[in-house]
Amino acid sequence: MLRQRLLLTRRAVVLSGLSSGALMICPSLLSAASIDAIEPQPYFAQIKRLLAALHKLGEPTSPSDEAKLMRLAVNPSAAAVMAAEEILSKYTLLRVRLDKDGIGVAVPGLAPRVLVEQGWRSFLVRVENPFSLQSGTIFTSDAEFAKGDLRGDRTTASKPSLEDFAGYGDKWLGYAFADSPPLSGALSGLGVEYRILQLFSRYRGSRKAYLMVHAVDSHFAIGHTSQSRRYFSGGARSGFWTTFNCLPSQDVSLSIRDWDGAGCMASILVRDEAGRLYPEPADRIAPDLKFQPQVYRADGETLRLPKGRYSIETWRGPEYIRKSQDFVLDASSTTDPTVRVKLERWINAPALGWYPGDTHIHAAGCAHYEQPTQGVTPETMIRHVRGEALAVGDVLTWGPSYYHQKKFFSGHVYEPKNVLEYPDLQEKKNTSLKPQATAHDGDSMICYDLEVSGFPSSHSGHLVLLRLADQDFPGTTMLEDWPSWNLPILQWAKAQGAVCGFAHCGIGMSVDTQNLPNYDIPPLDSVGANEYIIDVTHDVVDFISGTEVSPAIELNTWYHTLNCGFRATMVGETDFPCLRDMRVGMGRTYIGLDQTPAGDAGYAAWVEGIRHGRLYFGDGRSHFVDYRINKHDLGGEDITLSRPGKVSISARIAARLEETPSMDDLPVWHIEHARIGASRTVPVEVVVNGEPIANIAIIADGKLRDFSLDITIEQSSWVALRILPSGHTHPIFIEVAGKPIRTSRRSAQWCLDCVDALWQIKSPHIRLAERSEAAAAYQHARDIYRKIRSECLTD
Amino acid sequence: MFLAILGALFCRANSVTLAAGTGNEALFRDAAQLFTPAEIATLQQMIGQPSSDGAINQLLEKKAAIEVTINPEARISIKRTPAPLTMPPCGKSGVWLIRIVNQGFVTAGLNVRTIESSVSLEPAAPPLSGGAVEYRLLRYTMSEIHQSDITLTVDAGSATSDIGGRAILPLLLQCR
Repeated sequence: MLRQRLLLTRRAVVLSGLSSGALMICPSLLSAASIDAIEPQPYFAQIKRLLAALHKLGEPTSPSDEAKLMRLAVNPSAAAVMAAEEILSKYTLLRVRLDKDGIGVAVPGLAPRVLVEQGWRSFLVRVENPFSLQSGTIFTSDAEFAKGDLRGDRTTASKPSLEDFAGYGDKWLGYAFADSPPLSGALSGLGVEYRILQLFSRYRGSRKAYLMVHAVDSHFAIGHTSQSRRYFSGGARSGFWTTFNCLPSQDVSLSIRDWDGAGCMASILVRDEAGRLYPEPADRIAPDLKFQPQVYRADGETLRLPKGRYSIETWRGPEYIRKSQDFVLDASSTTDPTVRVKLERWINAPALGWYPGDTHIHAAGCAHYEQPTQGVTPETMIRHVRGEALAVGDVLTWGPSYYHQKKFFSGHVYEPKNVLEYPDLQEKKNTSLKPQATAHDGDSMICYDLEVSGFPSSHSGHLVLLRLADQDFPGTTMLEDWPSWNLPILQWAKAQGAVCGFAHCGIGMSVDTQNLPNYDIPPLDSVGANEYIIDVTHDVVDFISGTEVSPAIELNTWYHTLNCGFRATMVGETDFPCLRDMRVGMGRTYIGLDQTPAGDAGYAAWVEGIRHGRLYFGDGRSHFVDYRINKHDLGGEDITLSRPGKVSISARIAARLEETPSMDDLPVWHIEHARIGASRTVPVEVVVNGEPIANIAIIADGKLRDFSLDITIEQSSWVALRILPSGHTHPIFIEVAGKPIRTSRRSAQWCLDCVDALWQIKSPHIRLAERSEAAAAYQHARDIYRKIRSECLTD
Repeated sequence: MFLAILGALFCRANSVTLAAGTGNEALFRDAAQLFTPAEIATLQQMIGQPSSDGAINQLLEKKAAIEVTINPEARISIKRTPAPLTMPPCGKSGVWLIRIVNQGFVTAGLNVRTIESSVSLEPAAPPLSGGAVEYRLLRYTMSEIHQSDITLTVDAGSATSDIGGRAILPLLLQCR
């Protein structure tokens, strides 16, 4: 049976080859020897990567073919290879055999020659590599433009110009070989392997092209065109002519209405029946980012689609219900087809006085923006912030691309214009995307501030400095001139009224327990809270940030310092797109305000809310409204008791689980992890001085529910509510008999031990000229923690 | 002689260090596979000379077939370099030199792993120093005589692998 299937496949290849004339050039391409010589294990290892890459590119194989291939991969064998070859043949555009110099002889594969006007399609190229070349591959054609002109990884990060298109002439066929992980840019040397070739058509209709593939030095990039031309014009015409049917595409209008009927920006995820993503990740130009499946569109804007059936998923952040609808674009569609989206909130936190923000998003840096590191503009960032319904987005300039991005810093809220980053390029692509203003635009703002990351002090933790007036440390001209530890920077920032904290507090703080609190000393070997433990004793730290790793890791440091009587807050952040790239606002903080934040005053109020602790944070799927103790509001004055006694907790709490459990690709902070069994309930815990003293299940159906409980307070304490790992309030503080909070001798000892460990690990990275001052600051922290330890009445 | 060279390099300033497990002489011995006698002689000359770190780095960089980058946010990625990936005789162990560009001041241990049974890895390296560039030797033994596709993954503790699939590196191996 396998033999028969193989013969059929070969027959099909013969027919294709004869129709192109290629077999007259290279009859050896029909040989079965190459299949017999394929090593099954490495063959299937690359097939699994190929399938993963196709998913990532938004063009997966059919589910049934993928399932068959994965089954074959379980027991790699020669027979399994033959079966896999047959499956892959229908996705293969070219079969090429390389000689020892990398010159390829190509015959057609069986993939339908269908392209999309102004869009991309992915094809497989089967490369027979008998000389085990470890080279890159190039595609050449009479119709192609120079390599990479329209590649997304360049256009999202660098500014393409019309000069890039100067060589277009009559060229109509764009191409790129997929080379991002899990694929690489070079052949591995395996006898037969597959590469993914992405093709772009400028036009619609029937188009003919001559196709060839050759191998080149894998590090050969600049000058490709001349080598390509050499292959093409040098007589090595070892490819074939073929004709593509380029499907027409058109702009589809989007009507995007928020819960109140007014227009807004939203997240739009479009797939066709084959599972392909639109716009294609191969051709994303900012504001669309290739590393996200979704794009952000405002009411009245457009998407370009070919005719077909689509599934369109919409949402606007975790306060909204994710919705999906079908859309058909066919010959009977009107000349102005429209997708109509009506968004639905399950909770409206801003209407309740709680405004969400993300204190840690980047417009440049990390590998997503690395070619080069220019990054994107505020006009792109605001679309993402609006599309996730954040009231505030803090766009932090940091080491990578520091000098380019810092030009957007002004010390004021940035007011982006409704413009595209690359209007000339969009126009050249015949895309009619024109940014539209909406009624909800004013609900969101961005402000450019600073993350001290990639600076000399970064070994001791990364500072997030919000509401800076001046971004340049005195006496410095380059970031390498900045202090080599954090306290001087914090003191400078605080002196200008900034609100200051530490980023991603859990990195390098892992311990071998999930207990919270725990008393293990973390390794302190990376860029987490670190110097926070010293600097909080100097009264210069307003917050630490997390929601990126396990709560036991992130909250432990915060709890211990709260137990010592310090009042720094904890906030949720995303560190987009370095720690997480799916969307901004994955970690978020809700600040309680009396009015909607707007402009500089609104931003200042929101940031001050961080300092005052009128906040809760998490994944946006748990909400703690009107949290009070004895009618004292969260973020207000301390409660004072003359003696130990009972207090009354009250709150309105809403949380939302999907009706059906799903653990697919969930981040660490996600309410699904809090689900109790298979129920639709989650536990609300009352935390006193770091210890959960009550655990009450609530139905997580999205409805606000009253929560109340009386507890006894024995000593000056902090009391918070949490649903882990989804949401956590800042504490309400209770002073008993005029005493400060000194709840745990062990917490003070933990902090003291961390100071010693930090000095040992971090001081070698502090410049000698600054070390004595740093040593004094560390000693100050030791003295403080020893004093606190001596004042604690309990372990 | 070669062991002495590597030991000396290990003792040099933080800017360039080549480290292996303390007392792991077999690892040092295997590292000799990477260098020609002339290169060893050059290294010998440079040892002890002031300001030779740059030149040593250049020489080592040419031999490092794998590069690990720790970005300022402590995200760790791994990639092949143009340097050839040496393969040992079948049944014998070999080493690869790994260049580590550490922009995040990370001082954790570097973990390079593979789940494939066809190869075993012995990183046997001390924790990173936090310096800007360091080198590590990765010792491996192949149990298959056929071609074998392995996937290396890299991290320096929990939640440190870069996103976007950049912390994995597939390699096609075949012993000689």
